[in-house]
Amino acid sequence: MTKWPLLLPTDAIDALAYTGNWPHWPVPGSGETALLKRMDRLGMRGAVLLSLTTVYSDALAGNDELAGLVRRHPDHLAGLVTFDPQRPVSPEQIMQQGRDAGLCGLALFPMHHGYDLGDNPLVEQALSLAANWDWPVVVPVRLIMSWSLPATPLQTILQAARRHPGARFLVGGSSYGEADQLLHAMAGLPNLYIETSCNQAAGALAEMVIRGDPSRILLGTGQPVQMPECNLVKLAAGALDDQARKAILSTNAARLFNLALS
Amino acid sequence: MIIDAHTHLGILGPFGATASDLVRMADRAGIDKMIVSHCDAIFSDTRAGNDALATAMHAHPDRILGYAAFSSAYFGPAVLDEIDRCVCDHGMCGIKIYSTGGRSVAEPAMWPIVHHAAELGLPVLAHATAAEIDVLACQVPEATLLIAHLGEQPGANMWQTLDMARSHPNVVLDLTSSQIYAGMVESCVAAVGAGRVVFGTDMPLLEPEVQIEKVYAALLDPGVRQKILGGNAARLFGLSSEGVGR
Repeated sequence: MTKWPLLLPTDAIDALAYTGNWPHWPVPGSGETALLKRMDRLGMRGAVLLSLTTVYSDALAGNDELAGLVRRHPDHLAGLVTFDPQRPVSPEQIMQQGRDAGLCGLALFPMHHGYDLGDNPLVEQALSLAANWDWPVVVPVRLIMSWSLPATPLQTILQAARRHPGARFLVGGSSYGEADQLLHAMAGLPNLYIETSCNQAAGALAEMVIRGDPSRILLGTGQPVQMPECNLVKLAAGALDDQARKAILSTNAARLFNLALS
Repeated sequence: MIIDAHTHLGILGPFGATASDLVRMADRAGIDKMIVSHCDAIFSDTRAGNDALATAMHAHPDRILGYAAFSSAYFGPAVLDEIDRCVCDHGMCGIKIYSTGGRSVAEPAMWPIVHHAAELGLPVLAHATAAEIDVLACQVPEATLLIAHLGEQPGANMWQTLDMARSHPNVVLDLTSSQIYAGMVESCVAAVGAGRVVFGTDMPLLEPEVQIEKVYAALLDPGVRQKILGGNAARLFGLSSEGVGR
């Protein structure tokens, strides 16, 4: 019989974490200092950040804010540029600014920015540019595991991955409801990756490894809005071999985002 | 002792478990006892589901306890006899109710059922929203109502549940859920006190270790943590700290 508390794996790279203000309810442990302290306490090597400011307030200001955070902590943090097609700035300009500022991929939030991922010429330009730059594209189905917040239809993400085979897509925030469809799609889409933060189903990680591709599964936590420990424990509990565990914990994220974290 | 107040036998969508499966999962996760309802009893064949649960209880008397459950088609007086049968013949220690099939657990047909559970001293685990539990808690204030999943479901959330539960001392918060919000357990304790929060896993649907870690990762005194992980369930369901005996 297992005895608690379990020893959580260390040296993780969190492939889906947030910075900025969460507007729906108070979140303890928000902010730069708290993030770094929590990562240190959990022995996390690094985190890839998406900006909630870009989601809920202003994409341009959020990108700048995130770039500043990454600049201050390049050994531990990486960040993604959010492109919001509602803003009157071209994808080239936004992404170039982000690249110049040290950001390392593209994040899209169609459910919050009010567009259809399959029907927006500016987003298509952004995706083509991401493919040319070999930038990963992160599209969360949902930001965190809540049934009450908006979700992007998984099919639209899969269709975008089919239209842009040169771009690598990380599907964030998928839940057990999308798992079967996602794993099925993975077989035919070598540019498709899965992140774990919102799938709490029993045996989910083991099933992903068996049916999917262990080199395309990434640990994500949704911190600070979600408890990172609850995702780390999946790796402690799951029936995974050491190679798959290490890949999901850190090496897949390091490879996908081309990270050189210390 | 870790007591899981929310577990299922049978098949639900792509998930399913026999009694042996559940015990194996509980062993792996370090769970001592489970309070279980049968999916068939909730969604299809009430009597067959409850009988299958009784068989599992008899096969694993030190691990599996039972909720008498029934489908929405049974909302009404016929359920009272089924509850009595499950309690008297099989020693089940609670009832599970579920808003499904277009019927709400808050409708008047449910009130005498909940009242009967209260008379028998049986806690009621209700898969329902805060608004539905509010109705039941007002109608049957002597019942002990566990709101499953903290009331989290499309269109309803735990923050509504906390607001509702503050004004109903007979409502207990069941942490079982896909949600892993930072601070959620602490918020529950702050809202209703450490004695009205219980832990559950929803096995075989959800990963039990994630649900336990939710409690361990929360900033809680060790005594509070132990209440949530088992002490409160032992008190509510009349279990001794030594074993199952009611």
